[in-house]
Amino acid sequence: MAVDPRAPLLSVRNLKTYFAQDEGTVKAVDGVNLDLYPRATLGIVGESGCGKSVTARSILRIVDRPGRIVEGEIQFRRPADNGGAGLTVDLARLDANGTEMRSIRGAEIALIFQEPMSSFSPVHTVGNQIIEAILLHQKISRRDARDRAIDMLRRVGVSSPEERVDQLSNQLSGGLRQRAMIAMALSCHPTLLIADEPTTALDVTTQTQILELMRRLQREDGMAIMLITHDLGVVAEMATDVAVMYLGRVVEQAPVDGIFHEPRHPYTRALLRSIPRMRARSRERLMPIAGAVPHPYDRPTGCPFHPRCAEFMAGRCDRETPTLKPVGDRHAVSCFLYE
Amino acid sequence: MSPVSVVSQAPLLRVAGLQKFFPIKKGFLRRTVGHVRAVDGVNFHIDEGETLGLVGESGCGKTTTARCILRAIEPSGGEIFMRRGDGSVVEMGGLRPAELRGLRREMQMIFQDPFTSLNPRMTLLDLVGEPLLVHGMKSRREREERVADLLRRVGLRPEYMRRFPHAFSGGERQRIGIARALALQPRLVVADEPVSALDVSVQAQILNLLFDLQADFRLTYLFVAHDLSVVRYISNRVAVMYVGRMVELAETEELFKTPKHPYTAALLSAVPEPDPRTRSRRIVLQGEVANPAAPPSGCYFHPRCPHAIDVCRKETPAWLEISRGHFVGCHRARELQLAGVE
Repeated sequence: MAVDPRAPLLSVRNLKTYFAQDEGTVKAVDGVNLDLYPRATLGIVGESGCGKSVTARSILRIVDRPGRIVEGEIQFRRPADNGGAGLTVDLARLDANGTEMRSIRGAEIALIFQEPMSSFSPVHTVGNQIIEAILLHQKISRRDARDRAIDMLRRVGVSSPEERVDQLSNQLSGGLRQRAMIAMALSCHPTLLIADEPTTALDVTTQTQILELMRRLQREDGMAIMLITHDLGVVAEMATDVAVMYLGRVVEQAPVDGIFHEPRHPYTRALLRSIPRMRARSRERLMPIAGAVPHPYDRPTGCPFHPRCAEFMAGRCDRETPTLKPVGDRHAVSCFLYE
Repeated sequence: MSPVSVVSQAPLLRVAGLQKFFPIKKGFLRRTVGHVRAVDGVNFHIDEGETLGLVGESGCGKTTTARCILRAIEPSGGEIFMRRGDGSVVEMGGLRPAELRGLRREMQMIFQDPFTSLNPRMTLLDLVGEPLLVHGMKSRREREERVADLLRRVGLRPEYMRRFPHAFSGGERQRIGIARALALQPRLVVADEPVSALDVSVQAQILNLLFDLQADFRLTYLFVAHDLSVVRYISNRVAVMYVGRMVELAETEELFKTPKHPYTAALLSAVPEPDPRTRSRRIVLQGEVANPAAPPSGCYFHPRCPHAIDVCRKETPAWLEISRGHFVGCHRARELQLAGVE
């Protein structure tokens, strides 16, 4: 089967990941649809409990128990070897601990996450952990792997990498640790990098450095990035496309300009109105969204946003659940206002 | 009550040369081998009814400054003057413990994390009523009435008074923390990152609430935060700290539009705007924040400063008033043209 190079690298369809617990079932991801194209950056934004991290973990098949993918597809196009067409696999159907998933995870899809403190083992050197990641996926000697680890550390801007490679992670600052984690993630040249709140724990001047670094590495290596964050500023800065999530569902997806300049979903619009801005005048009132994100056990019926929505239509939004429908060029929204 | 006019009065709070050093102890005998200069010579004042934003990156000393003011920790040097309700000005360092206790009810704190700062075994009535009890309101009826009133003021239903904090969302818990802080009718409220643990959609509610309460109760805020857009929203004036020193202090609009310190300019440019059309060239600072245990010579910012010259490496810059109310600690403040926001 010939593959269109403009076809999505990753295509998630109706993904549902549920956590069955004594108190009830938490529908952390409840029918998510997403498309991510090669070399693009898809920003996934949402507040706590919207399911953005569980979506990422579902793609990597590392959802913690009792979480389970109960429905849906995760079509991932594997890189073409020797110029041949890449084959597409449904990650949702693979054995999470099987050979194929293990050859994809870490090598073709890599993950960096928020806590650079806890992502490295404190008792092994940073270098050994990167070397181990390389040796797991590639048949090269330990010495070559070490050279490559040093090269990667140099590429991500770690000064004197020959010395840093033998240090423990607690000897590095937060910014350096995040750089080392990026070096480890990119050491096997993944086609998809999932970055889950990669700069949330960092200071703003360090955040600028890391975002700049991610952009440079993407230009050089050409991987696609799925950037998960709650920070609308970071998304506007980095993403080519944006998916806005709320309570386990994508409520709107569009190219970045469409989300920020022609937002359609009432949640997206309210969110953009509510945030304090650098360019706003000081001491002017903000326009908050009423209420709070509901507890996962208390999911509203119908559209999950309806109890907080200013444009709520009684009898419709609280009874039926809207689905993502196209409203423009690559712009889709899940709201009855547009049906 | 104090008169409405504040122009001729002393500031509510004045901090002069504040220092806080933490000893670094090493070895079997725990000998002091050096000091972390967490706060190193900070000067500012806050007028009654205004909000001073205190910003900086982690480890810059902003929280330590706030804790020194509340006397949660003992400063190593400097003076803190507070104007009391009767108009007299006291220096806190010279107070006896009993006098300090009296002053404490005039200063309260709002904490960052509403999940860990409230005792889970206490009901709202106990949480908000505890400061009232401690300060002598013995009648339970009276306390209940006061708590109900406070809960209403922060936007919570008084009927929830007998519930425990776990039944509430993050934003509601922050409201409980605010009600507790306001129970004793303080004049100065120190808010340390009060919205940074909250969801984006809830932050605006709490910021608006703080704004309304300030008007209703004539509160004075010291607002400690790292998020510059939040600070811009809430503050009349903003102070920027770097490695234990204050580098710039000015009225909010002026600081954002015409920053005079290269660090302030870099900090402002680093905040990503929620607008893809303003993706601008950022000032990407090299290196990392200096170690406050072994700070560099001269201006602490010089190793990362794109404008550093010889004098910056050798001499500590003076804290000078470059225009009315605009203070900056930079050797080149008068010659540099730095870009702000807008």
